[in-house]
Amino acid sequence: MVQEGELPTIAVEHDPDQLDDLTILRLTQEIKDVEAFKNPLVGDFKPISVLLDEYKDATFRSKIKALGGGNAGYRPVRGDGNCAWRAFAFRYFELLSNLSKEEIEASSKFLLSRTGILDAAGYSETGYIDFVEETSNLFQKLPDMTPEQLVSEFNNAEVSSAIIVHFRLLAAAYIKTHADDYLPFIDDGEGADISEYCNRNIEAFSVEADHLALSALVNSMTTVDLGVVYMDRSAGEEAVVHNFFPAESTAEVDPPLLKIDLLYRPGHYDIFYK
Amino acid sequence: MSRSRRIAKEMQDAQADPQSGIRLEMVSESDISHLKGYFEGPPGTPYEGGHYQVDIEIPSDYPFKPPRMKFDTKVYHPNISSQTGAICLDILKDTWSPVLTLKASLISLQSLLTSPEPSNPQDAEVAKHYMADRRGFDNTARYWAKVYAGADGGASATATTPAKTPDVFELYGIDRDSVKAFESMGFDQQRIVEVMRRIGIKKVGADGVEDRILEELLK
Repeated sequence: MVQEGELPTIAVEHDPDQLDDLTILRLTQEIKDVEAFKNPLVGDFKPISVLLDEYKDATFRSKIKALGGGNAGYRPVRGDGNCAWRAFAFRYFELLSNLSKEEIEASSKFLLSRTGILDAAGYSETGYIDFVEETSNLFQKLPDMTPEQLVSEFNNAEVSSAIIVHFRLLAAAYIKTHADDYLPFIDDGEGADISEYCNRNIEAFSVEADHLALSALVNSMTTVDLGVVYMDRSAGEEAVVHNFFPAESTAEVDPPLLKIDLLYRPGHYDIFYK
Repeated sequence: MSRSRRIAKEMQDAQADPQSGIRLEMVSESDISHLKGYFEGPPGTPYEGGHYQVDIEIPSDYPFKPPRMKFDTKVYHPNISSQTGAICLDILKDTWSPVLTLKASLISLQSLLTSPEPSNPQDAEVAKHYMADRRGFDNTARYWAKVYAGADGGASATATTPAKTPDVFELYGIDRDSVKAFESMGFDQQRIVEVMRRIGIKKVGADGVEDRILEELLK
């Protein structure tokens, strides 16, 4: 893992014909580490005008302008294959941190009660307990944390990565326990395997979230509405927004309903603020 | 969550479950990031009866990154380098998940011995042998298990060096008489074997094969 303050270097003394798989794996990781080093896991809030400066393309510019001025902005998240998950998890806790201690407690109690679906999906407690514990720890610290402390907590890779694993497992468990709902989307005509899909696309750390994964995450949490603003080159003056609503109603439960917005640019997610 | 605590817990779990047939040991008591894993060759495969040792290096960001594993014991298998022991297995690369454990990874290696995936080879020469001549491949793999992994009481469990000098023909599944034919022309045995391995020919017989080997030998 990259330590703050020292820029990793990549060894280049390898003969490309002599590379074995382990070396290739290591070098790929080093390249990723160097890339990653340039950006924090979770960055600081930036007004939307900063994004406008990045683009010359007219389609992008009109779409960015349409996102609104004023308080609109975004928070960059490192593009390490976990960005959608990290963005979602950070925003989840950030929104909660603005609520009362009682509401935070209710949310904590509810989310941790969802651990039941991990058991139902066949995950062993030994396998998931460390990650769920990290989420639980953050819930406990949250009422007393400043916004800066929350950002710094999420820039501790061990903490936010553990929470990401917890959220990934919730999404995968939801798919596994609702296989009939998801199978038609996974089936490629050659016999789909739910477990294989979850392993390759959701449980696998550093594999970016696809549409299905986000839908499953929202369904598994049940207390979050998710909006994704698709900032791409497709025709139109305004970016397309795709909303994910939980399939099961939360009307009967205590925890407050949260609204998370992500900003998608091809291959990458950041947090979006309206 | 502490990495050392997790590794220690994983080692305890493995120890508490001898049924799994998986054993984990520290190489040195001062370093929890370098382990050796042990398991038996799966029954009903050419590796049956073999004792396999795997070198395990645990990266600093484990379990978010996969453990680095390679075979210490020499294995004849399409997805394992016959030279270095490097392993081609997706869960040790792209599809690693932090819910997996060292024990689960070693069990996956064991299943890999049962179900090779020659379409995604680590060792091209071995994969070609597997695809072209399954029976010949099985014989060679069985021979390696005997010589290097102690199947049939052939060698010790930690053998990186064979108990006896391996028979070069059996070792690479190369037909003895085919090599003899070239030897009688005056070529060196070692070189004939090297050429036949390089161009992936195990036996002379089909049209043109003999010429092809000759051409290589005369280069």
